[in-house]
Amino acid sequence: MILYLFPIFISWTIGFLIIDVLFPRNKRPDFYVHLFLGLGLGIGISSHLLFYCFAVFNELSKPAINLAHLVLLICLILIRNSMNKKNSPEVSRKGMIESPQNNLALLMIGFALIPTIYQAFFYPMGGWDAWSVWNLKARFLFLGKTQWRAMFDPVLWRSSPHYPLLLPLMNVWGWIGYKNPTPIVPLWNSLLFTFLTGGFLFSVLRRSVSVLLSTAAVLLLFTLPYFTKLASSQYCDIVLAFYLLCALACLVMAIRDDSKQFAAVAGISLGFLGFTKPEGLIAVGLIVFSSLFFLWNKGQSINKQSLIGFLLAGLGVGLLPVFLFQLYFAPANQTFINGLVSSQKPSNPARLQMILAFFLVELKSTKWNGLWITLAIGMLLSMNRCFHKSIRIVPICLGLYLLIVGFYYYINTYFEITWWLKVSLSRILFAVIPSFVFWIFDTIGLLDRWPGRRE
Amino acid sequence: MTTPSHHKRKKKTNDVPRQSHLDLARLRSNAFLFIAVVIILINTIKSVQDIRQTQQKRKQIPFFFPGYKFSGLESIFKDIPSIGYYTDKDLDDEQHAAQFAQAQYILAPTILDWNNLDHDLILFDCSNAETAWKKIREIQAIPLKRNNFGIILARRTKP
Repeated sequence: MILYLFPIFISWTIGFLIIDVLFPRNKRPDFYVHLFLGLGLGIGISSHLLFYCFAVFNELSKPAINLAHLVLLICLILIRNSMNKKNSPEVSRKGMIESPQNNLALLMIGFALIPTIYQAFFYPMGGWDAWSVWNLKARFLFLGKTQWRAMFDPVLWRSSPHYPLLLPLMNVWGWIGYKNPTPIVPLWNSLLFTFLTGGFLFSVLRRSVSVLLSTAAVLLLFTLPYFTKLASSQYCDIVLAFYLLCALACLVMAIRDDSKQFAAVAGISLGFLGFTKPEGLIAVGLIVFSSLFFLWNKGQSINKQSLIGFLLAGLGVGLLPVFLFQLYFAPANQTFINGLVSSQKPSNPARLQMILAFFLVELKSTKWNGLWITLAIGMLLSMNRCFHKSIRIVPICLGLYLLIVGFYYYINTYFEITWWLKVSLSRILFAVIPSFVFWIFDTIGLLDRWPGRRE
Repeated sequence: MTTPSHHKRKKKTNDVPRQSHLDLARLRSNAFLFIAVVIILINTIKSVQDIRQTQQKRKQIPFFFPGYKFSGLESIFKDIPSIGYYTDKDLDDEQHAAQFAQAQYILAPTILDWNNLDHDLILFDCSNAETAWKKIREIQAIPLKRNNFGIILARRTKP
């Protein structure tokens, strides 16, 4: 356990310091946002460092990886200390830490993780894609020496060789202190990201919503058996869910607070999101274009140009490994047939009909225990507030994302559509749930803050 | 010109709808919280039932990862980039496809080349031993190892 916790602690320290360096002392985020965002950023950055080490040394070089972390850590400490001398005194955030309500709520959230822990240990090797895709890639990286690129061999087409490497690199980072790739590390990582998603959702909602609503939002996810199964299955979907939530929530905070620092963090999170799965990269494109449009049309903001600049700078840092991966490493997608031009497997209206029907069947499926209906009720109760200009970007991005995913199902006719929808649509929906929950619960919070105002 | 009393009256009339809006907003917020709490309670009950059911199943049939049938072979394949994997099982069948994927996971970074018999080393995972031996003789291979699960490793004698 300690061998796993040590690299995680290093990552968390790096992430925590990055936020310290990015935000001036008097504008630092609330303590819990800082804590959870720091861990998410830190693990993502560790994965990026591992990727650069693989790209440069062409093998798992533990000394190089450790040295890269050490250098980054020292640099961040030095920058932080020099900035602290120049900056204004720190605003105390003790109120939030010492608030018994918040601590109790987080304790409850931790307690609510028990069903997920049970599920994870019922299936310690994870679900199908865990051993067929994600953990397989991680083993290639960890054991493959200079032959790690063999994982891109077309023979392994069943393992989606073109998929990005964020989660496998995270697992390798967790194994860094071990001699063998023990299966417990991917299991811990799945639990860590589940808790991180819940913790971050709580802390961002807590900025605008009561402690009861914020806790209920997380418990709604953590008590849902289907959510716990998917979250603990060691798939990349929980990682995608976390970074999608991170990017959207940070964008909302950037718009509301006119904060270029949150815009930068949103950009970095988008970079991590693009390195999770191909659909993550689709989401990045959509969110970037939507946010550029929103930030540019942010009428009252005096620094909309710097908001856009910081967002793009963060995005550049975050997306660099994605570009390198796509340019120099990723093989072509072997499981794609363009149905719009293919005469053998054309996209037809029946396929479209099937996709639409499946979406509806999936949303009202009993496995979600009425979650989507609850969110729909929340939307109705919030009236027009769910499209308030401070949060409008979330439903627009999520709506466009689902639309494009549906379009991809339509044009890629490689797979038989019924089977494909059956095995993957629920995971697509699972990955957007935390962001949907954030949107609806935050909107309900808006009811209390701006009663009777039409905006 | 407005008198102070007029101000007071105007403020009061504006406050009435605002207060009602606030009450309505709180009512809607509380209604949503109530629905969410009900769903959480139902979820919790279902979660507990789900965990108990799986615990019962695990007591009857303990967890087994079929890929473990191949463990122990990875030391033989050290530094060998790829080997052949012969099976007469239908990989369209979910159970067989899962076993193949798990074998690949356990033996990674060695690649299992499905039904390619051109490799020096070939792993035979057949539905019965007879089929495996027949194929081994057919390609003039020498069996090197056979484990308790009937997995046979053979080496081709002729290129």
